[in-house]
Formats: sequence, structure tokens, C-alpha cells
Amino acid sequence: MKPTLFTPIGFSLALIFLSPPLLAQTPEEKGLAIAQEADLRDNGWGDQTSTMEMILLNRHGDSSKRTMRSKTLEVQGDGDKSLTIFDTPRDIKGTAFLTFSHIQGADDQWLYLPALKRVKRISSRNKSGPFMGSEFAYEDMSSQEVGKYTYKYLRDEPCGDGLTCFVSERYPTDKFSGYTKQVAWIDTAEYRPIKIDFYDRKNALLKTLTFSGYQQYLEKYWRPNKLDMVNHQTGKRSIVNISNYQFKTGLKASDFHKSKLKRLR
Amino acid sequence: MKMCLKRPLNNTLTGCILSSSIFFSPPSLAVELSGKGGGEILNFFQEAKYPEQHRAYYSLFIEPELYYAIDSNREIKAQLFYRYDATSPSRTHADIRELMFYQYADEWEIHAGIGKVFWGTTESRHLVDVVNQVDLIESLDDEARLGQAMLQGMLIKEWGTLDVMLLPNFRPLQFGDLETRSRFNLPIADQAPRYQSKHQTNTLDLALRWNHSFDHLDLGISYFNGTQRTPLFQVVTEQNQPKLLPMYVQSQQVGLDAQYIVNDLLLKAEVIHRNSHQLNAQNQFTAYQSNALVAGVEYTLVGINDTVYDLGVIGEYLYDEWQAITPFQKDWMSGLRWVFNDEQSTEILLGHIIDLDDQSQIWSLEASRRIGDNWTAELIGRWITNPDPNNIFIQSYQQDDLLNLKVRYYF
Repeated sequence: MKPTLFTPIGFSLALIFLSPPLLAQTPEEKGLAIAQEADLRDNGWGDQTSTMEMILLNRHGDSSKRTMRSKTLEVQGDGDKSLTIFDTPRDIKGTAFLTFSHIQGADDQWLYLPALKRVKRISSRNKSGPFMGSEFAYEDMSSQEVGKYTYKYLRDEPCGDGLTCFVSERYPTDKFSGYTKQVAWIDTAEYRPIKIDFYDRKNALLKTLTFSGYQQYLEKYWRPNKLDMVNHQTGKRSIVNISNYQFKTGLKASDFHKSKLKRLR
Repeated sequence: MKMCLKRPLNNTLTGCILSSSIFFSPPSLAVELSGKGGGEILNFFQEAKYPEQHRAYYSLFIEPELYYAIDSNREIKAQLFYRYDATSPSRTHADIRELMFYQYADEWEIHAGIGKVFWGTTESRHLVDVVNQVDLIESLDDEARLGQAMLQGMLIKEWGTLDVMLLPNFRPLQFGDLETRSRFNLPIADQAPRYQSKHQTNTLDLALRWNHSFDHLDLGISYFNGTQRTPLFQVVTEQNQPKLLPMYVQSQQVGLDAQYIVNDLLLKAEVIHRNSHQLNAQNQFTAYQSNALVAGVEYTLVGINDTVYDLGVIGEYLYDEWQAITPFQKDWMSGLRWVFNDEQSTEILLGHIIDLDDQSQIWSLEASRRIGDNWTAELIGRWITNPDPNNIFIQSYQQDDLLNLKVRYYF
């Protein structure tokens, strides 16, 4: 076909519109672009199961332990669906949380109490409370979506192990969040979270979460095997060791149903 | 999901089977024994009203659970209960809480055996939850239930979950003898209970329930046709003494239970209509219709005053037209739940029920926490204020203010 006059002009116009305005990016745009790129790179894992061990340490060095299993289904265009089943402490063995998380507004959440065989819908508007007595809030454990924050890129800086990180501030869009802001270190090579500082409602540094032991699964998805949350205000600390990651196990939406909570063990 | 079978002595994988049913996570062992056991002291503040009763009761209990996974879709669960009471022989009792075969598929389940279900949303009273008989000896309220024989089919569809249950073998209430505390002011008759059905306990009851979640609303509709779990009482004479004879009538009950979430506020309601029977002056059973309702709210203040503590506020209105079977004709329950959100899961619950007709009041204070990894302790106090002399229910609990300490070990 004979090239028309329009083709090169149309082509170059498209280039102008499609190419990211790298030079003219504001800190807000760059922060958002980093979050979007991290989200894109972690897209398509489908479903995931893992085993978690949570160790709670207080100021005096006393420790207690919870073990749980987690099953998550990736949901395109909204927050993920997840199941958390407790194995220990033994008095809450079999207790299960079913969560349909949403980018905007409250999640839908059900709690199964095995001793009563009771499924209870619970309020999840306010996710700032502690998860099972730990230094993790419910909102720290829920699915991280781009739309849950607004962003502001600060700088690049070294962040250990020869890595360089993007450092960005992110501000929760949920007014019921327990944080005014978070500062996140995301590595420039693989867009993995390395460290997050959490600032409380008075804008004072509350907690620091460090991710370590990253491994790549399905030749694409990076997952940490250790999360370490330190509360600077109380001196308490919670460590989560994650193992047995499995992906694309075939979980489907119908498996995440309140009537099926009693099947879990 | 990959099902990987492990050799018992090492972790070498002997084979991984790809299973088409994906939901069920393979447990590490096909057979698993767990459960709990513990001790309990029941202490009363006042002298006993009756010479057979005591000031304190000491008992031990064990509740082992056995779990056997046949394959990823079939399992058997058993839970036995036994309490030995050193003070009160009639509180020594055993029950099969569960002995059930389960078959699971993506859109249906079948359960056969003995088990327990829970229906409903409210906290103060469980109106729609009529499948299992109350374990009266075990519980100060109606939370403890006896295992019920059942054949249960369940459909899990887009339009909701439908339960169909056939319930053979009715279980009457088990009352403690004269030495138990609290008890009614008249003793329970020695003779067998009276049944409206000529088949007595050998009946086959039917229970249906549909439930579904719509956005912020969880809704259930239930139907029961069979022997009413809660008895009526007839005063009879035995050994020249007036005694109470429990009577179990035939009843149909339609129930609705709902919960609606508005931000941090839960709105809850249970409504029932009973098409039941009562005894007339000619000592015959006649049809009797009645309605009952529990409706209320639960509001949780998360992180009060920038602490990690949560405070839950509960308020429920109780209404029942049928005076003969319940003390809750027109009552209001208030509750305050203090959740510490600590490693020991410490919780304190203060409860208060006031009879809106005569202002008689029941108070309860329950505190619980975990000790170490495998123990829990629970302290329950219950007392009466402003008892009305004509309130028969309150009268049976008067002078029975109590403190109950429960220590449990989980294995």
C-alpha cells in the first residue's frame, strides 16, 4: 500500500500522546507511576496460598506465636478476596476470616467461630485496629491497591544489599485509616517494597515494616519470606515468617464463600 | 490444588496428585486428635435456698475432637463432651456433640450423623436457632447445645445457600436434680416428660433455611416443623408434692434473621412466628399462635482515645407473646464489650437485662484471656437486682448470685 501523507503525522501524534512525559513529571505523577508499575509487574498471579507464622514480641522480650494459612484470589479491577485460617493458638484453631477487599470504602468481612459453628458478618469500616494482638493493623494485612493511596515521590536512595530504592510518600484515601501518611521504599530494579514507615494520626512516626528474603515465583512474582514490624512508640515488634507459597492452585471465586468457612481446617 | 502425600518418617514427597476439587487444603495428617479439657469452680455468694444445694461446685471436663480426612472432599469429625462434677452427681454428664460424615462439592454438601448448626444474628437470645436442644446443665445461658442427629443437604448457589435438614430423635432438656443450683422453685417430676406426639422422642422433624448476602445485608429465612425444643410446664403431684412436668408440643416456626451494616454500626433482628400448641383447662393440646422478636444494634468504637482498645456497645430489645415458655416478654439487653487487642486476647463483657414490665434485672460480667499458648481462663459473675416477687423466672435465680471460674487447656 502506498503510504499516505497522514500516516507519519498520525504516527508521530500518537507517539506524543502515548509516551510518558518523563521529563515533565511532577513528584505526585512520578509517585503514582511507580505504584502503577509495581502493580503492573505483580499482575496476573491468579491465586496464591501460603503459610504464616506470626511472632509477637513485647518490650520485655516475651513472645507468643500465631500460625495461620492464607488463600488469596486476585480480583481484577477491585481488591482481592482472601481467607485466613488460624491453626494456633489452639483456643482459636479453625477460626477463619473471609474478606472481600475493596479499593474504595469498607471491605466485606465474615468471621467463622468454630466452637459455636457461627458465621458472623463483622464491621470492617475501620481497619486501623490491631490484627490478632499484633503490631500489624488490619489495613496493613489487606490487599494493597494503587487506588488506596495518593502518592508523592521524594528521592532515590540506596536501600541495602546493593539496591537502590524509590522513596515516596503515600497518603491513605480511606478517611478511617489509622495513618496520615506512609513513606515507602520500593526497589528500582524489581519494584518490590523494601521498607515502609507508618505515621500515626498525629503525624508522628509509629511503625516501620521491613520486607526481606524475597524469592521469585513463576519467573515473575516476587514474594518476601519475612515481614518485620517494629512499633517505635511501644517498643513492641511483630515478625511474620511466610512459607509454602503456591500460585495458580486453581482457587475460584466460589471457593470464597461464607457458607464454606466451616469446611476449612 | 496439588495434594502431596508425605511419608510418615521423613519429608520425602511420595507423590503429588492433582485434584479437581480445589478448595480443601490438605491437612498435614489424615487423622488428627485435638480438643480441650479443664476445671471449673462455681461459687455462690448466698446461702443455698434448699438443703440439698451447696455453696460451691467443683468439676472437671474434657472435650476431645477427632478429625479424619477420607479424601479432599470427604471427612469425618467427632467431638465428645464429658463433665465430672465432684459436688453435684446430676451435673456429671456426657454428650456426643458431633459425629458427622461430610461430603463436599463446589455447589453442594451432604452431612450425616450428629452435629450442631447455628442460625441467627442477635446476641441476647437465639430465636431462630431451634435445631439443637439447649444443654441446660452446661450453660448459664442457652449457648451450649446438645448434639442433634441429622441428615443435612446444602445447596450453595448464586441465589444463596439452602439447607434442608431431616432431624430424627428428639432430645428433651436434661434437668439437674435437687442439688443443682440454680433450679426452679418446684422440682422437676420424676416421671417421663409428656409429649404431644404419640411417637414421643422417636419423631422426624424438618428444618429448612435459606440465607444470602446482599451488599451490606445478610438475610436468612427459616422454617421448622416438629417437636418444639422449649417445653411447657404442667404442675403435677408426685409423692404428695407439687412438681413440674415438662411437656413437648408440636410446632411449626417461620423465622427471619437479618443483619445490616452501616459503617461501624450493625443492625440485627430475628423475628419468628410459631404455629404451636398449649394445654387448655381440659388438659388437651390446642393450637396456639405466637410471635417473638429480638432486634438491636452493635456499635464498635475502634481504638478509643488513640489506644489499641476497642469498645463495643450492644443494645437489644426482646419481645415474646408466649409467656409460658420464656422470661423475655418485654426486656432490654445492654452490653459493653471491652477488647484489649493484646497478645492474650483479653476481653471483658458487661451485660445487663432489664424486664421492662417489672424492672427486675440480671447483670453479668465476663472476663477472659489466654495464658501462655495453650491455656485460657474465664471469670463470669452473675447477679440479680430489684427482683419482682411475682417474676417466677427471677425468683428461681434469686439468692443465686454467682462467680464462675473456668480454666481450660487446649491440646
